[in-house]
Amino acid sequence: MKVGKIVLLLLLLPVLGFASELKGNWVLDKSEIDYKVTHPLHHVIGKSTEARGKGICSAAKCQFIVAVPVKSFDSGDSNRDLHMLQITKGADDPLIQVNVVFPNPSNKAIPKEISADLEILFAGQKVNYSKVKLGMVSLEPGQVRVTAVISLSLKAFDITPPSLLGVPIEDSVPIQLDMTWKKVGTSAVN
Amino acid sequence: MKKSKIILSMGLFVFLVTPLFAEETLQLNDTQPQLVLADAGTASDNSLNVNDLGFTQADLQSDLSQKDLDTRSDMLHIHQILGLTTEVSLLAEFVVGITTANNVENGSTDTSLVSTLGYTTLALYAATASFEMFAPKPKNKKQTGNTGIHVALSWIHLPLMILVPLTGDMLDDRIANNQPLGNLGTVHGVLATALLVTYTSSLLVITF
Repeated sequence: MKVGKIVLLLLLLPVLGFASELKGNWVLDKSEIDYKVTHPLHHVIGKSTEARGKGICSAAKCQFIVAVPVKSFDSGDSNRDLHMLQITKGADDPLIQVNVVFPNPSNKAIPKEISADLEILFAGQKVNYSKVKLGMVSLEPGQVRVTAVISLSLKAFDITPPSLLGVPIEDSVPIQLDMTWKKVGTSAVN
Repeated sequence: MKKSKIILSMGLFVFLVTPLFAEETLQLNDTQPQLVLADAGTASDNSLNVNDLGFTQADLQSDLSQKDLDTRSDMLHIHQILGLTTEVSLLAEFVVGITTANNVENGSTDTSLVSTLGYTTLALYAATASFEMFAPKPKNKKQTGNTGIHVALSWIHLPLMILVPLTGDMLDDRIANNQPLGNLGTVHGVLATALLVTYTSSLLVITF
């Protein structure tokens, strides 16, 4: 009898205990999103901590949405921030919206890294990025830290790169994401 | 013993059958309507919508319209070009001023070149400043970073840009009327140097 219970417990353990820790509804708890602009004469980093996001992970796949107001980025120079707002058409398209989809690695603990498909809506343009690596660290039960670096091309978003002394900034602008997600429940998840 | 066998069998059954249900869930999810990622107007029970993120109008509304931002950018671009032209004129004025001062010490009374350059620089400076002053700006926004330094320096070089031509004009009068110059030449020189230094600094701190 005892042996039977132990075996049963062992057999059910994967089903009960580790059934996809990602499954559930998620909300962005805190975040820091940085962009880095490179010019032969100097580098600029702009930061925003005002991103908001939600996510739904079913047994099959995870869908997340993150949005951040363009005007919330602070590069430490008010005029540069206004210029950034102008070239990215931030008054007409005030949000940078990122939609993330990836298959849920079911029956596993939170993976260290996943490949996700991203759709970025920025400056009135929609650009898809496939197989973007997202780093994941489980901070505590129901809390995950997600980090990623996405290299955006200004040309892809139809943004004219600003120039200094006739020399434009580099087309590639790395965006560094550092986000902490919190699980809020599983009621709406299939 | 029989009971344990039954429990064991049930356990095995659950263990083996669970992946089948998981597969079924996968199929169900795949047949559901796909998330319309960038369409803010579409929402279903299980979809994610940017409107659900709770951004308020204040979070999104820019202090300036896109048209004003574009106008501002254009005007500041002209401000930059005129500012660089003023710098060249100011440097030329400074060099010609030193040469004229030496010539005056040697008895010359011709100050026409330095005067002309001085007024040209003043006109260019005024034009440069006007393109910044009349450019649309957000209300109640503190200027930070290098822009803040650029603006702070303007409070020094703006009065200097008034005082330098004024003392230069007074010097012109005294030279033309063969009156003693006193310390006015030195004062003019110091003010002109301070103007060149502060103006050049305000130019160097600005990036894009």
